[in-house]
Amino acid sequence: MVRFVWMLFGIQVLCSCTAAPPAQGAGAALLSPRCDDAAVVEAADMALRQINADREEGYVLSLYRIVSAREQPQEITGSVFYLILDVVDTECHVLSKKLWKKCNPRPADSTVYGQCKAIIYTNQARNIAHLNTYECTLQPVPPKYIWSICPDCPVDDNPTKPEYLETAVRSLAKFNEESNQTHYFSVLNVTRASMQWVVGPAYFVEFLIQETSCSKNDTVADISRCEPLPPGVAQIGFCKGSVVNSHKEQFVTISCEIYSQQDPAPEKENQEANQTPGKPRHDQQASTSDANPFSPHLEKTVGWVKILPPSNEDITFYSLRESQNKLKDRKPVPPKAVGSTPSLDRKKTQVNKLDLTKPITGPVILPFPEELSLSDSCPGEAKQMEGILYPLITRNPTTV
Amino acid sequence: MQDRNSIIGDNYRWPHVIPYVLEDSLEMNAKGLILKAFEQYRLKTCIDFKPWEGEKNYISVFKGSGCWSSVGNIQMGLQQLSIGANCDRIGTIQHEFLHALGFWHEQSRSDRDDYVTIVWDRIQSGKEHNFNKYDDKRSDFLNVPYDYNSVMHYSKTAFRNGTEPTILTNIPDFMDVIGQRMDFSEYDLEKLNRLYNCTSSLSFLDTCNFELENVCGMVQSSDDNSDWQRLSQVPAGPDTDHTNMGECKDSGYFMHFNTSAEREGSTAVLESRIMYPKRGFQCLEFYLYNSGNENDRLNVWVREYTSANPNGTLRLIQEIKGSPETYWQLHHVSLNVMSKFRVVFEGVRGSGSSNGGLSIDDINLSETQCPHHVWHIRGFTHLLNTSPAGRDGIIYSPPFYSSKGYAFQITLYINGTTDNPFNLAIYLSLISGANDDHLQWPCPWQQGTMVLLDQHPDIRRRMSNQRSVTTDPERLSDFTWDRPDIVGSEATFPNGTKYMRGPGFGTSAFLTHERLRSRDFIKEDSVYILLTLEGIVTQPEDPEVPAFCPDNPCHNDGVCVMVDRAPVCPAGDNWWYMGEMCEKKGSTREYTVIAVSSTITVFVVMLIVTITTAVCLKKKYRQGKENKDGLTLEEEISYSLRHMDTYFK
Repeated sequence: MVRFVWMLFGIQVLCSCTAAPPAQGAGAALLSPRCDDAAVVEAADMALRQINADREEGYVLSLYRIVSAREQPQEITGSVFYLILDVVDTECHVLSKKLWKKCNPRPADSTVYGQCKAIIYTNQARNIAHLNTYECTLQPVPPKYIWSICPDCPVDDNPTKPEYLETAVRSLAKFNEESNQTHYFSVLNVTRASMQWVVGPAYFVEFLIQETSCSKNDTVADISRCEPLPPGVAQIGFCKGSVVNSHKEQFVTISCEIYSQQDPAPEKENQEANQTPGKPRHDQQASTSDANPFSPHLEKTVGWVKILPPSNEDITFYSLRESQNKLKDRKPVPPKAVGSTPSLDRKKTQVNKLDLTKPITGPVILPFPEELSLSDSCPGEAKQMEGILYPLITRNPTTV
Repeated sequence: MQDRNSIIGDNYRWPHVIPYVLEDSLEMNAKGLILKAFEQYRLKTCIDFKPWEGEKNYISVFKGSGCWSSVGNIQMGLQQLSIGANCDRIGTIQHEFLHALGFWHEQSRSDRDDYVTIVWDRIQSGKEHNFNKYDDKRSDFLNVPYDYNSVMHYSKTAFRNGTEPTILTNIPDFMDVIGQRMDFSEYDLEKLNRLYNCTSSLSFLDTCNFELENVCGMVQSSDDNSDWQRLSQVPAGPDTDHTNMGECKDSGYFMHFNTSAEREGSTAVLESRIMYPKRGFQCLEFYLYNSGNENDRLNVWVREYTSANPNGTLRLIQEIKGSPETYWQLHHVSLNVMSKFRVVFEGVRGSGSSNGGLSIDDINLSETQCPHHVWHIRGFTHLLNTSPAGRDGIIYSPPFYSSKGYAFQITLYINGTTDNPFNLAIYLSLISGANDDHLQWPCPWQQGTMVLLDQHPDIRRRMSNQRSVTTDPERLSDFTWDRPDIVGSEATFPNGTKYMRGPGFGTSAFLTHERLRSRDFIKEDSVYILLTLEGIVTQPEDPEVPAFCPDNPCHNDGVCVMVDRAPVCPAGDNWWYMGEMCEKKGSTREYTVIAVSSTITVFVVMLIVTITTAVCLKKKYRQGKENKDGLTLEEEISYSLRHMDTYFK
C-alpha cells in the first residue's frame, strides 16, 4: 500500500524532471561523455540487451567494459550514442533469451571475447532505447594463451567433429531416458566442444536439442530418425553433456534446460511495431499509453556478430601481465578501436546514408565516428578485474 | 620475467595458508575429497587451506569441464580450479592443487628428454601441446631428480590415439609406474617443501619405528615394575620387527614388554616426549604383536599438562586386549587432546601363563581423523595368486556400522572384474542393519572412503590408494542408496546369518596388480583396508568465519552479513534496507512514521474534502428536508473510506 504511494510520488518526480528536453541541435559536434556516466552505462546495457535479443546463434554476450562512448544529442529529444564495448560471452545460449546480467561468465579456457560497435538512440523521457546498428567481432581466447598458464585446460575445439556429435547423442540418450518429457529430443546442433584426458579421453559438449514426433511411450531404436516436430510446436532446449571414458567404463553426465515454448515474446504491441514492419526486438520501447503524439521514426535494428577462428598467436599470460605491470605507471593510452572493419556492411546498414536526408521524425544518425572518446574516464572499469583473461581483453592495443 | 625462476617465479607463489571457496556446482563426493586432499597437504607439507574471508587472491574450486588449474598464484583475485566429472579422486585433486601451487607436469621438465620419449605420432591430433616442454627459465626442477613416480606425471596412455603408449620411459621398468594418482611421491614433497621453504606441517606430530637407539625420545617411566625393551626378535614372537620385516641385517627393532617374566598386575610404561597439539584431535596408530596371554593388555593413556596441573594428569583412552596371534596387528586410537601432552603406553601383565609378551612398532601420531573401521585381510599373496577374475574372486568384508547407524559392507574383487582383470575392484554396499527402521532412506550424502593402506612405517611417506563414493539420495535410476531390504539381494554371512546387500558402488579400476605389488601395500602377507562412512562436512562449523563482510559493499553504512559466503545487505534488527546494496534505507520506526503520517494526512485531507462537500451540500439544500442532510454526510464519508481502501490495496 505504502509502496504504491511512493511509486506515484516517484512517477511524478520523474515526469517533472524529464519535462524539459535537451535543446542541442542535431549534427552538433559529438560529445565525449564519461564512460561511467549513468546514461552511457544505461545505453551500453540496452545496446547489449538488444544485440543479444537480435541474435539467433551463439551465446549471450556480456559487457566487460565500455571502451569508448560518443554522444550526439538529438533535436527531436534524446541522444544517439556511439559505443565501443569490450564483451565476453557467457554460459547462456541466446535462445535462452536471458538477460546478459543474469548469465554466468564462462571459464577462461572456453571464453569468446571481442568488441562490439553499437549505435543506439535513447530517449529517457519517452522511455525509448532503440539499437540502430551493431557490429561485433569476436574471437576465442588464443589456445596458446590458455596453455601458457593452464596445462590441463581443455580449450574449445571444432564442435563439428564427429566425436562431439557422438558425445551429444550419447549424453542426450541419458536425458531422454530420465526426463519426464512426453517426446524424445534429438540433437539440433553442437555449439561448443572440448576434450581432455581425465582417466581416459573425456569429451565435453554443449548443444541445442529439439523435440521430435516420437513419443516416449514408444520404444524407439534410433532417435536420430525421429522427425522433429514442426518449428513453433517443437520445444527447443540446451544441454551440457560429457562422456568420460576410462579403461573399461564410460561415465555420462547430462543436464538440459528446455526453453519455454515460443517465449512469451518480450515485445509488446506498440506504436513502433506498427511503424516498422518485420519483427522488432527491443527490450524497452515507447509505451502506447503515452498521450504525446511524438513518435520518432526508428529503423529496424541491423547488425552482425562475426567470430574469427582461434588465433595461433604465441602469447603468454605471464609476458602480457608483466608488460602491463610495467606500463601501469605511465599515463594510460586509450586502446585503438576495432580497426579491422572500417566500412560498414552497406547492404545492411544503408540507414546511415538515408538518415541525413530524412525529416526530423527520426534520430539523425552519423557514420560511426572514427575518433574515440576524449574523456579520460574511458576506457571504463572492467566488470571483472579477476581471472586470467583480464590482461588479454584489456591489452593494448586491441588487435581483434 | 626473472632470469631465474623457482618453478615460475617467486611472485607467483601463494601464502602458506591458501584461501579457498568450494562452489555449489561441485559434486558432493568431490567436495568431500577436496577436504581430504587438503588434509594430505596439512599432514605432509607446510601448506594449509582456509575458507576465503575476503583475501585478495583465492582459489575457487568449481565443477568445470574436466580437471584443471592455472599454474601458480596468478594474482588476479578469484582463481578457478576445476574438479569436473570423474575428477573426484584424491590424487587428481592433489595434482591440480600442485599446479595451483606452481608446478607443471613432470614430463614438461626441461630435462625430460633424458628420461622419457614422447611418441608424437601416437598422440591425438591437436593435443600435442599437452606434451610441451618448458625450458629452465619457466620451470625449475629445484635440483630434484626426474620423478617417474610423481603425481604430476602423465600415464603412458595419456592422449593416445590408438592403443600404443604416448610416453616411453627410458628405463623400461617405469612404464607402469608413471601416471600414479595415489598420493604425493617423495620427490613431489621435496620439491614443494623446497619451493615453499617448509619446515613443519600442521597435523604431523611424530613417527617412530624404533630403529634408532634413542627410541625417538620416548622415556621409560619409573612408576612401574618393568621396562619395555628394544629388541629385534623374541622367541615366542615376533620373529622380526614390523618396519623392515627382518629384511635388513642388523636393523629392525621394536619395543617389547616381556610378560612371561612378570607377575600378574605388573606394568611397564613407555611415554612419548611432550607433544604440542594444534588442532585438538589426534590419531595414534601403531602395530601390536601379542605373544603373551589373552589377559595381557595394553593401556593407552595421555598425560595432559595444563596450568592447573603442571605435572600432568593421566587419562585412560583405550584398553587393548586380544588373544595371542602370530602376526602384527594395526591399531588406531583416537585422541582429543587440547593441551601439551605425552602418549603413554602401559603394558599390564594379566592372569594366566605367558611365554612371550606385548610388542609395539611403527607408531604414528598425527592430528588427523582415525579411520572408523579397519578390514585386515591376511594371506593376501595366496589370494592374489589363486583368485580368478570376476565374481569367483570376490571377498566380502565383515559388516560395519557408520556413525549414523547405516550398516555397510565392502566387496573386493581380488583379480578384477571379468572385463578388467589384474586390477583390484572395490565396491561399497549398504546392507540391512539393526537401525534401518530409524534411518533416513534413501541414505543421504554419506561419503564412504576406502583406503588401501601403504604400510610404510612413516605416515608422511605413505602413498595409500583410496576411493570415495557418496550416497546420493536423488540417484533414482537404480535405487542404489535405498533400503537394502528393498533394493538389495539376499546374502549370507559366514556364520549362516542371512541379510540383504544393496547394489555396490565403487570402481573396477581401484588399483592395478603391478601397483599393488609395489610399495608396502602387502606387508607380512596382509593388506589393510581402512574404512569410514560419514557425513560430508563441507562447511566446518568454524567460529572464525566472520559474521560481517570483509569489504562492506553496502551503501549508506548498511550493516552487511555473510550468508553462504556472499555479502548480504538487508540485515540488522531495527533497520529496513531496500535494494540489493542498501541504496535506500530507513529504520522501521521512520518507516512506520512515514506510513502512518501519510495515511493520516490523506485521511484528513479527504475528510476535509468530504466535510466541505457535505457542508456545501447542506447549505445548498438547506431549504430541503433537514434529516436528509445527515444521511448524505454519512454516505459521503463511507464512500470516501471505501475509496481509500481500494486506493491503498
